[in-house]
Amino acid sequence: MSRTSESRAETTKLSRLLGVEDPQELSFLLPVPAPELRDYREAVTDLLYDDDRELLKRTADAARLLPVRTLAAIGERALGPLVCARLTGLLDPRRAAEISEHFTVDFLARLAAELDPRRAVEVVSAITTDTVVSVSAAMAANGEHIAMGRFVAYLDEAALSLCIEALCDEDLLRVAFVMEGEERFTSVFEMIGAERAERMLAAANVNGLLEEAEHVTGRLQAAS
Amino acid sequence: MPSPTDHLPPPPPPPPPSLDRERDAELTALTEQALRRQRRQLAEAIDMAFDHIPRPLRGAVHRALGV
Repeated sequence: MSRTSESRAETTKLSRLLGVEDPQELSFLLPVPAPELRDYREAVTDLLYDDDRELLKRTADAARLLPVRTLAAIGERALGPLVCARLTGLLDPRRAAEISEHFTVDFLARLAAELDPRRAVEVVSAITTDTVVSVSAAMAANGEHIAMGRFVAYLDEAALSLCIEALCDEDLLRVAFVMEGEERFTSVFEMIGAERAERMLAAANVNGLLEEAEHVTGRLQAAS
Repeated sequence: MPSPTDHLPPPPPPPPPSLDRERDAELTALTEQALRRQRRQLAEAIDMAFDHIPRPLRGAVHRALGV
């Protein structure tokens, strides 16, 4: 696993967080070691989540006055995925999960792409497995592999296994490239199985994902 | 109504130590831009949300939001 590909994975994640459409704009970050980029990204995540926290907290409190169905309509039609993602961790987890049942899969996928799952662990675990699988497919279709990589650590094994089954090899490789946590990384590849992993890595050249495949192979070798 | 822009934005985190000094400002500017974009979205979203709240509940929601 090369230091450059680790830094590229981090740069890709940071570009997503900052809303920079073309990660090439951040190519000046590639010489920076990945751990420094990770620290910066986490600090920016905290900055974005903690900004206007008081107003968000009051908004979450006000949400208790409204029925779940109305809240879902407001979330999807007015607040949008970014604000809903910031609110998710401030709502009662059971209520947040109930609201999510009234969102469309497409909206949930866009919300999840903005969500820091560390701040909504209980909500993520309260979502039904069927919904998790549908949302993961929608996120993959939207090209949100970076966000998907953040969720892997917070899904139970049953949901994760069904998501792996539902995703194509190319999507799996893109998620594996940015996936965090070595222990989870290894267990995901145990679920994928040697045969599919080999096929996925072998096809990487055709899909233009050679760097991703080399990075993933390096991590697998380092873990074994 | 308190708006997300009523207070000064918090400072962006210090750039990674190994980043070229010449690039520090570029990264900081992108981070500030992301923060401003988020504030703008939040302000617009809360304004829009009121259109979807049933009229009899608007007063209570206004009060809960501190407005």
